[in-house]
Amino acid sequence: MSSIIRGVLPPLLILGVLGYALSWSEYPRKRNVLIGIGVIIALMILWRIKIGIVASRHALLLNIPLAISGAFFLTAERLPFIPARMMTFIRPVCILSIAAAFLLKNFNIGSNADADMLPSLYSAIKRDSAHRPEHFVIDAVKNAVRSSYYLGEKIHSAAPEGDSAEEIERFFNSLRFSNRVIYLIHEGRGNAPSVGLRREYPHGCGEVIFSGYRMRHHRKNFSVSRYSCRNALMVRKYQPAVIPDLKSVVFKEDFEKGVSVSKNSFADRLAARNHLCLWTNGTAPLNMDICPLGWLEKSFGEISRAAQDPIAGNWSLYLKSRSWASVMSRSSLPRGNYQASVLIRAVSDSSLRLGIRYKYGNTMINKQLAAAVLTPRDGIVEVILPITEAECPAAYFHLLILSEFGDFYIDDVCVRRAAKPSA
Amino acid sequence: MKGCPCSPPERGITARILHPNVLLGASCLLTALLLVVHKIADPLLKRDSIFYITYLEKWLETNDFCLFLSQNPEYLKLPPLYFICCRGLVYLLGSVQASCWILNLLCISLLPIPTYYLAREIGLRSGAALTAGLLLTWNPPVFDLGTNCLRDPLFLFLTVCALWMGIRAFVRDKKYALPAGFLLGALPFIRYEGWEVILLSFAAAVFLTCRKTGRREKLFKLALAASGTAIVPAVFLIYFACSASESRWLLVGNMCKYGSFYFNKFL
Repeated sequence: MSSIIRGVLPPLLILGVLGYALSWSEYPRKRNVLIGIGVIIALMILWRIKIGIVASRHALLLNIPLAISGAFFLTAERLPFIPARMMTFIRPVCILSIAAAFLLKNFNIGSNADADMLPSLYSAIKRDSAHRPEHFVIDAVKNAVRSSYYLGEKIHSAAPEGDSAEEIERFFNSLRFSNRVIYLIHEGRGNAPSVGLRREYPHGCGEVIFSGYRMRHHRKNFSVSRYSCRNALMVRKYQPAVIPDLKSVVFKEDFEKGVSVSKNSFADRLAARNHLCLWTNGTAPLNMDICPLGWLEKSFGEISRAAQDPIAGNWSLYLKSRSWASVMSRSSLPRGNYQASVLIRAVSDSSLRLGIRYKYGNTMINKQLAAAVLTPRDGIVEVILPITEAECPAAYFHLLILSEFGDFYIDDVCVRRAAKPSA
Repeated sequence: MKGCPCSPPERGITARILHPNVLLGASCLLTALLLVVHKIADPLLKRDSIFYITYLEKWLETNDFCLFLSQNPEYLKLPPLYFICCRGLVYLLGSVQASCWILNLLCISLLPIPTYYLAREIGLRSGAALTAGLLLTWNPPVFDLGTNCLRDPLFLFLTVCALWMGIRAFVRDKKYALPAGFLLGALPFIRYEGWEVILLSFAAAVFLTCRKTGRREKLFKLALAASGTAIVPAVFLIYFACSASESRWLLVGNMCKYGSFYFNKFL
């Protein structure tokens, strides 16, 4: 009922005022029209805030009444309730502020984060590709989509390092079409990586490094997990072969202490983390329907069915020492007993712990369910996690994998319904 | 002869130059020029732009819209009208990216015209109406759209046109009712937020119709506008339903599904 009131009542109010304002305009009385428009704007904004969609695209239409009433405000000889002398002062201030906003926004007066970032990134790319020839940083962009046609010139003009724009361009082109693992350094909003890469790198993309990730909250109830899911879904829809987006990461100390982490502090700490790698071999497209690493809009049951099919693309998640991965499901699961199996391949001697994380009441609870000590000689090892209803009474959970020390790959993760509690 | 009382008063050169239509044209040209300069200074595209360009490129590869949508169901989610407009420009310009951008450029640089007439319609003087047009066009978020390949400029342009024609139809001239309805009907096929504009506009129109004065005439205008609104969805439904594609009913179903999606979000 409240959702209906929330959804229907404000538009009806707006309609009433809009209609009344329009009916006034049959007998033009500017003051009435102005008041009507002002009320409409206020109601629309309130409504938008209430239903939580104040994104720029939704607010685009608000510009129409704003511009009209603003113009009236700027050009009217006298406004109601405002003395004429005040108008002579207010008007130039308004004009100047509009002009300033326009100039600052449209001519990039002020800092340009992307342009500032690119030169240092180019150095990093070159340095990194020299040290680790099998990996490349290929693109480094705030919103992850920058046509690399301009990348060379941008870097060159911002901070020439002796390389010409053509050389930089050639360097990037040589990387772009190689079949090797590709880096993407991601700075900026969550849904960044990246629709555009599909076009730029049609063969798929490999490693993702999140560096200085900044999470923004547009809505108070827009939780990190929802945000991550949306990103992941977006990537999945638009970029099925490119980048699974790994956002849901919890921190070691949280896991050990079992403390609840509020959404805001979670986001803040997410911003503070160094990096996490997600690895594919760069040649085979990652099949997101089969890869059950949580970026899925379907239920776990469907994943289980899909996972019985042969895996089309080779994929693996690379976890560095002392880092975490969290595998999450978007949709709620029916309560019951589950069994998670994780295929792990150690790169160096490593110790890892596996567990679950779920929300119970208002508290996030972390539980360790298994631990493993592995060496590279062990090859691929399957770790089974029994997730019983007693262990996890919540409707959904995240699977947590922690590297205490040592690097390793996670080659597969699968969660299935278990008929009875596993041993 | 000079002072003949029946001849219209002569207008000075300044008055002719400062005629609102001249100023309107000049502001459109100036906006277009600024957009080109801005595009040269910062030619980078936003994320969604590249996605839309990819959409069009794939469509061009297939050359059959229904077949393309059947093969790429992830694109079913996007309302098709923007891409159809861009596709039309591709025939003229050859380049997909250029076509998308030119469409955006046109929409933004011509935006002062409908805004001017809309503002005039609700009682602003011509100077204020021109200012309204410039304020809307040169406001940074809107202006920024003109250098990208996004659906929003076309949506905004058609919304302002529809509002202007709708208000004009109800206040004065009934011949604007049908085109106003037609434009309103086109909006959801550019962005699904268009349903909201339709809802608001029609509810306002119903409110106006309920008033005592000229009720019958207003009802007629409302019916005209409603029939105009129904044209575009009907054309799309018929087009999809009559296509040779095997998955034509899937296309029809998806159109309805995503059309209702926006309202479901509210409720």
